[in-house]
Amino acid sequence: MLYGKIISLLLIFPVFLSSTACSVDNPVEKSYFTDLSRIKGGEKPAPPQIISVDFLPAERELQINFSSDGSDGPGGPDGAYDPDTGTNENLVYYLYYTDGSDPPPFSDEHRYYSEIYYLGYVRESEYSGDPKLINEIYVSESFAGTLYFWMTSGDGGRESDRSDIAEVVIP
Amino acid sequence: MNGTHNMYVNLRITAAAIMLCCMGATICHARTCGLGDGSPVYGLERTELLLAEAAKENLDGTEGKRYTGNRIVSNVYPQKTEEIPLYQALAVDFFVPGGGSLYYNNYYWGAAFGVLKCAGAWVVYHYYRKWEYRRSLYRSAKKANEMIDPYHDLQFRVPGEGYKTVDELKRDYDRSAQNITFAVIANVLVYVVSLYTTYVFVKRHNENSIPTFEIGAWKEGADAETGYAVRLSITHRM
Repeated sequence: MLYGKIISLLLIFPVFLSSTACSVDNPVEKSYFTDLSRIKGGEKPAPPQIISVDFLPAERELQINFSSDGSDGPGGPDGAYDPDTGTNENLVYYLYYTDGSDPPPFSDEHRYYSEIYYLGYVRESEYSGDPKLINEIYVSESFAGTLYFWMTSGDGGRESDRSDIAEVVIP
Repeated sequence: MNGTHNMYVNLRITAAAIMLCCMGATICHARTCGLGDGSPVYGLERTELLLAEAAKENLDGTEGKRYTGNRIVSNVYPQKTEEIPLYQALAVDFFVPGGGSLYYNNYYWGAAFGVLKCAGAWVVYHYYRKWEYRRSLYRSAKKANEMIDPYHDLQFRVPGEGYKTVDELKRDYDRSAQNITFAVIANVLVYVVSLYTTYVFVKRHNENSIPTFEIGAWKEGADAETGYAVRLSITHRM
């Protein structure tokens, strides 16, 4: 009788475990996330290009001219372009800078996208036409030296590679 | 009062002291084991024998003092219950959730431990599967991030949870490993308590399976010269 009870308990135990096994998620394949549809933003957008950075000494104001004309497509010379939408209308342009105390090029490409160099952003939807202007960036009177700027674009999920670096000397 | 009689008196006083010590030790042992109210008697049956009074012989061969009164020897037959193999009970308790209770017949404890062990096993299994799942997500995301865009933190769509970066998936992976650790520790505690409970109950049960004997002898109706009574009560446990 004792052994009958033991066998009954042993039978109940695996049935209990197997009945709850279905509620657990199964592991995913190693290539699961290489599918771009599972990545926010999908394809990476192309960056804008900085045309010039001008310093106005009287106001100590910086003016940055850049191009994000996406009509050229991803292979164009200045095409800020989102392959997922086929346009640049949804793009946001991020502006980064540093000064002569920490000048580029950086040995680690990852640093170009660090928050410590992030200055601000503008939206494509705020502009009409090309090239575009970012102004009202004022430089402190106590600062003198070289400033470096670069830009990227973002589609709400992914950020593009950086643009070329432009520099300006503040006297 | 001659020297021989003095020797008898001294022997009896010493014997009485030893008897009292034995009784005290037996009672203490019984109380320590929780086996009743401290009585050293476990017998089922008591047989009393009325012995004829015999004359005592002194050491020099002369007839000694003849005592009046009766001597009664109680013979208590040992009480013995069926012994439970301790290691068998512990093995069943370890491999069968609540199985130990089948030996000590406390089904409330058995049900409690059975439910705890089943729940504990389910929790460990559940967290192990979660850990496997989190590990696969983290490894897949890390590999994809390095392959697709190593300079940016990509956000990966996790089913039912929205988008997460590799760092966030790593934290989930670490958390799931931590959950397994806690679940295993809790299970070990449950198993230790269950085994200890089975051990205590079976050990207590087996205490009653050990033969116990009582040998009693006392003298009644002592005369004026030997005005004391002696009671002997020995419980012999083997």
